Amino acid sequence: MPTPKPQKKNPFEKKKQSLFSKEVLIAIVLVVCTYFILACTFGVFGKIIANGAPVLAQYGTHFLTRSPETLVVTEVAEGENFVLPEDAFEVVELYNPKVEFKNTREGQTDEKTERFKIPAGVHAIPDGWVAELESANKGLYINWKSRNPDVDLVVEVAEDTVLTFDSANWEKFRTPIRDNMRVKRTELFNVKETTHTLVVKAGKTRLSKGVIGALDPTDLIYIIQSVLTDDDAASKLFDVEIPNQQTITVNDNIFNTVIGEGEGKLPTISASTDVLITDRSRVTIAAGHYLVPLTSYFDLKDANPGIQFSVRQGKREGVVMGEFPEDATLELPEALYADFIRENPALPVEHIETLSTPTTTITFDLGEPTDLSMPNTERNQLAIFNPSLKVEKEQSFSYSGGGVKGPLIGTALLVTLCIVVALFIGVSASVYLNEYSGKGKFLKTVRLAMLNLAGVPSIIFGLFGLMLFVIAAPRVTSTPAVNDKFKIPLFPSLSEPSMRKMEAEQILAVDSNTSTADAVIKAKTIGRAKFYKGWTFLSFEGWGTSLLAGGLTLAVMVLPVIITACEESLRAVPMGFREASLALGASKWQSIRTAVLPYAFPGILTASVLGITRVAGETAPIMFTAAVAAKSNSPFEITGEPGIVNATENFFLQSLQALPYHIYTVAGRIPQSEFTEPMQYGATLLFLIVVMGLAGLSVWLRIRARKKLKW
Amino acid sequence: MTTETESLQPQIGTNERPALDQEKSMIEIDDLSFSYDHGKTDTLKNITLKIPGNQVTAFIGPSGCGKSTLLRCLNRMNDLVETSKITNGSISILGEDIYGPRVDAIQLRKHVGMVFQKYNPFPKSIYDNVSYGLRIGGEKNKKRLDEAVERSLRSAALWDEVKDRLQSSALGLSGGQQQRLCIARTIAVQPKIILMDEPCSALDPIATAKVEELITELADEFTIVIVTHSMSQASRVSDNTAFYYLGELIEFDRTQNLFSNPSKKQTEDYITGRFG
Repeated sequence: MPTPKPQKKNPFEKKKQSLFSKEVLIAIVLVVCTYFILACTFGVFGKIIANGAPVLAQYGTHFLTRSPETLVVTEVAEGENFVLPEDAFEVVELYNPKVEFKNTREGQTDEKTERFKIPAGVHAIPDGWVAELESANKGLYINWKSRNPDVDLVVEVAEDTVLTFDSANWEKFRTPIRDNMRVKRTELFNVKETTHTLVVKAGKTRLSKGVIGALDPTDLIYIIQSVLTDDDAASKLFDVEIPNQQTITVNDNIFNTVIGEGEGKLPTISASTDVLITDRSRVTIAAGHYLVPLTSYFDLKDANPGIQFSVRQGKREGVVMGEFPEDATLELPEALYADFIRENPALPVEHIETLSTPTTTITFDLGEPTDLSMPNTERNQLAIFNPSLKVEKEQSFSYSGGGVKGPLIGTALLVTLCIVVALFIGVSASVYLNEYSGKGKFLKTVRLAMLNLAGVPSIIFGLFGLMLFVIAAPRVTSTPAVNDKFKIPLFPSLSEPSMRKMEAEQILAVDSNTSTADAVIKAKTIGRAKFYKGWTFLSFEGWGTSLLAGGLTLAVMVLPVIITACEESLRAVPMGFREASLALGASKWQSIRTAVLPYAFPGILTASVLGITRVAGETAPIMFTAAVAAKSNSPFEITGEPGIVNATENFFLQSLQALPYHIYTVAGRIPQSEFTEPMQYGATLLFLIVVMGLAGLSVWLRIRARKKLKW
Repeated sequence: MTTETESLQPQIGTNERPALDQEKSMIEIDDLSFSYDHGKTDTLKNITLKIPGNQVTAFIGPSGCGKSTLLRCLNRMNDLVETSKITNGSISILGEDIYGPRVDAIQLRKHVGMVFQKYNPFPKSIYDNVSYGLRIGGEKNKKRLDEAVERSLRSAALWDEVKDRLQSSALGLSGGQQQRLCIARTIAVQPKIILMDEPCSALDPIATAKVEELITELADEFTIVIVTHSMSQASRVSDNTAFYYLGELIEFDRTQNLFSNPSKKQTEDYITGRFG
C-alpha cells in the first residue's frame, strides 16, 4: 500500500485564470491595438499597391515621360482604314488593351516641312503668326518694334468692283498692298460728317454699362470702382470716378449713346457740334486678293452695303512690326506654310527647300463600335489623320490622361529650392546659436519660437506664404504692378520694356513728368496691370504663384526640423576639436569651417533628407503659393525674351505642377469615374515610392556616416 | 622602455642652473586674479609667477586648485567661457601683456600652443592633422607643408612609426601615438610655448613614458608648461614646479628643491600624500 504522501503545498501553484480576468482583458486590448496598427498599414499600402501597381505596369514609361492631359473617351463607329502615326497608335494600344485592332498594317506618310528665309529688317507680321513661327523654330524670339491693333484682313475681290471709301482710308487701304492693287478708275466726292466736343465734369457719378462700353474708344480717363462682367445688363449702373475735367471728341454714334436724360449718362458741362467734310473716293479695282486693315474693312463695308466680300481672317489679332536683326532661316510645316504665304502677301519670304520626314503610320480596322480612350494629343492626331471620323459619343476627363512628368519635375524643383534655402538658413542659424551666441534669454526665446513653428499646421504656412511671398514680397522692377503694397524708387531705368512685354504684361508707358500717383490712376483706369515710368522700383507686389514663393514657404516650414537636427549634429562634435583648432591659431570661423562643420555634415545631410521627405509630401503650403493643376510646357522651357536675367526671373517666377497637388486634383477636384482611377492610384503609388526612396536614402546616409566617422 | 625613463633621472639636479628668480623669464604672471563668474568669486587669487624660457615647468596641486585654469589663461583659451574675467593683475609673454588691447588672441595662440588632456586628433589623415595649423595660417605650398610635417613628426618622435601611412586616418593610431600626433600638430606651427594640460592622464604607462621623454627633449626648443596630477611625473620631467592650493600659488621652486625640501607645510603635506 503506498502510503499517502503528505500533501505538500506547492508555493508556485498555477492559479486558474478566468477569460475575463483583468490581466487577460488588458493583454487582449494591448494586442488588438498593436494589430490595429499593422492592419492599417496593410490596408493603406495594400490598397495603393493593389490598385497602383497594375497601372504602373500597364503604362510603364509613358507614365513618367508625359505630363497630365485630358483623357478623352471616344465612341468610334466601326469602320476600316483608321490611320494613326506609329507612336500615337502605340499610345492608343497602351490605353485600350482590351480593344481588338483588326488588320493592322504599316504605311508611310511624309511630313513635309518648308524652309524659308526672311531677310533682315522690320516686317509686319500678324501676332498669331509670330506665335506659330516661334513655336516651330526653337530659340526664335521676334522683338516687336510696334503693334497695330488693327486686324489686317485678306479680302478677296472676285471681279472688278466699284468701291467707295474715305480718302484717308483709301490711303491705308492701298499702302500695304503695294503693286498688286490694280486700280482702274478713281473719282472724288465729298460727304458731311458730324462730330461733338464734350467737356466732361469731374467727380463721382454712376454710368451704365452701355455708356462705359461706348466710352471705351474715347480718350476719357475715369476709374470704375468695380469689375465689369460679360453677363451684366447694358443698363446696370456702376460707380465711376472722373478724376478731373476733360474734353473729348466723339462721333455721332457715341454722342447719342453717352448723352441724354436719366441715370447712367455722362455728366457734361458743355457740348458743341462740328460738321466735318470728308473726301470720298470711288474706285474701281481689279479682281484679286487684297490686304485690308480691319477698321478700313468696316468702313468699306459700311460705305458699300451692296457688295459681298470674301474674307479670310487667319491668325490675326493685330499686326506687329517684328524685328529681324539678321536674315532668318525658318521652318514651318507644309500646311501652315501655305497659309502663312497666303495670309502675308506683303512679307518678302524666300522659299529655300522642302524637307520631308517620312513617318510610319499604322492603319487599322475596327469591327464594331468601340470606346477608345486616349490622351488629348492622340485624340487630335486621330482627328487630323482621319478627317471623316465618325464619333458616336465622347467624354473627357481632366488631368486623367498622360503621365506625371510635369508634377514630378515640379516637386523636384520645389524640394531642391526649399532644401537649398532651408539648409543655408538652418545651418547658419544653428551655427550661430550653437557656436556664437551666449546661453541667455535670447537663445531660449529662439528655441521656443522654433518649437512653436514646428507645431504650426502646414495650411497656416500656406497662408503665410500667400501673404508674404505671393502678395507682398519685394521685386526689383521698372514696371510695378498697380496693386502693389508700396514701392520705393531706386534709380532711373535705362531702357523701356520691349513693346512685346508691354503688350503681354499689359504695361502702360507714361512719360517721366507724370507723377506716380497719376500713373497709377491712369493704369487702373484703362485696366492695365502695370505701368512703366522710366524708374526702377523696389515694388512690394509679391512673386505670384511661383516656384520661388512655394520653395521659400516650404523652406520656412522645414526650418525647425533642419535647425534642430543641425544643432544636434553640431553638439555631437567633440569640444576637443574646437579647442584643438583654436589652440593652433585658428580664428573662430576657421575653426568652425575646418574642425566642426565637416564632422557635423553627415548628421546635417541625414536631417535634410528627412526634411526633403517631409516637404515633398506637403500639399497645403504649395496650393496657394506654387502649384497649378495644368501647365502645358515643361518648367525648363522658358519662354519670353532671351537673356540670362530674364530667363532666371521667368524660371523662378513660374508656377508649377507638383505631385501631391496633382494627386489632390485627380482625387478630390474632378468628378470620379472608372476612367480617372488609373491616374489616381498610379500617381499615389509613384509618390509613395519616391518618398520611401528618399527615406531609404536618409537611412543609408546615416548608416554610412556612422561607419565613416568615429571619435 | 623603463630604461629610457630611468635615463631621464640623472638630468634633474645635475644641470648647473642659476637660482630660479635669477633666470630670464618667458612668462610673467603678475598678481593675477581670475573669475569664471563675472568676478563674483575668484578662481585664481593673486598669483605672481615668473616662468623661465626653454625649461619645463610643472603645475601641481589637488583637483580644483586652479592649475588648469591658469594654464588656459596663458593662451587665452578661457576667452571661450563667456562669463570669465580677469579681475586683477596681468600676464605678459615676451614682455607683452597678452590681455592688452594690442593683442589678438588668434595670433597669441599661434605662439602659445596647447596639448589637451584627452588626445583629440581630427578625424582626418595624419598628414592633414599635422599640417592643419599651417594650412589655416594660409600656407599652401605643398613642399613646405611636406617639410613641416616631417620635421614636426620627427620632433614628436613619431616619424618612424607613421611615415608609411601619412594619408591614413589619425584615429587608427594608438592612444600614445595620437597624443604625440597632437604634440606634433602643435609644434608644426612653431610656437614659443607649449602648454600641456595633463597630457598623459589618458595614457597607459608605456605611452606615458614615451610622451615624457618627448617633453624633456622638446624643452631644448620650447618653453613647456605642464599641468599634471602625478607628482612622480612632475619630478621626472620638469625643471621647475609650482604648487597651487585653492586658487593660490603656494610654492614655486626648482623641482628638486620643492620635492626634497618644501618650504611650506601645505606643500609638504601634499607631496607626502597627506591630502589631495
